[in-house]
Amino acid sequence: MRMDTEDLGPRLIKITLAGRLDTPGVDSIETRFLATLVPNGNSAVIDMSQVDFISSMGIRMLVSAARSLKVRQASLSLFGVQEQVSQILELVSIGQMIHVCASEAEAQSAVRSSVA
Amino acid sequence: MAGREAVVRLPATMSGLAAGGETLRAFLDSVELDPARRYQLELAFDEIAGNIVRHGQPVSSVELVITIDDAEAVMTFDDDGVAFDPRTRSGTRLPAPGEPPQAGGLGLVLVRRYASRIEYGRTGQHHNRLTLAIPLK
Repeated sequence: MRMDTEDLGPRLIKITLAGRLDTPGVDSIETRFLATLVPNGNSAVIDMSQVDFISSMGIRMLVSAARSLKVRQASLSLFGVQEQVSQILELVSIGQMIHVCASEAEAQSAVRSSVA
Repeated sequence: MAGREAVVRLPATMSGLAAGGETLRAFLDSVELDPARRYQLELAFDEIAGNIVRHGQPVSSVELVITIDDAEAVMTFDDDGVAFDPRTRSGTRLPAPGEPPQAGGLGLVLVRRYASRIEYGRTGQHHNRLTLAIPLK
């Protein structure tokens, strides 16, 4: 699992994930993922276009981050979600906590407006 | 399709889990499967084997036997970890419409959603043996 970050401005980061958000994949990035976002209350737009699998561990990582960020007036949005991944995310109602968007522009707009 | 079978053995470590997943995916590449059904098989592996590695300690190894025919895939997990019957685990469910997502406990919920049957027993060698059947039609 690969994770790249890009600073988009005050308290907003773009995270690009590539690979599988399965148990080993999450294990390899979770600490860094949470450390990048939570301590400073950074909102994030997450590029999921190169993530071809997610299991409960990946869901847990995203939801835990979103919950911690909510307390810090920050939020997450995802974009570029692949079809099979999207079906799982829909099944667990992730959209109730994390914006799932069609494009990066929409994802940025969603997090900016939710913390405005 | 005549039955296809593979055996995946992995040490009960995170790197073993990663390698075991790759072995499983290589096998699934050789079988013609609907993408959604294939995803369910990969999901079952990650949820069950992942649970064993994370929660079954002390545990040294996991063996998966997977058999696929036209109707279903049968996955049998055998491990030497602490006794655990996942059928007895309750309390977590998928959120109802409008409810927020849960962070944890979704693994077995997802497996139960896709498996048509789940069987568990302890073997004579004091191993856990869990068998799932996942419909392919």
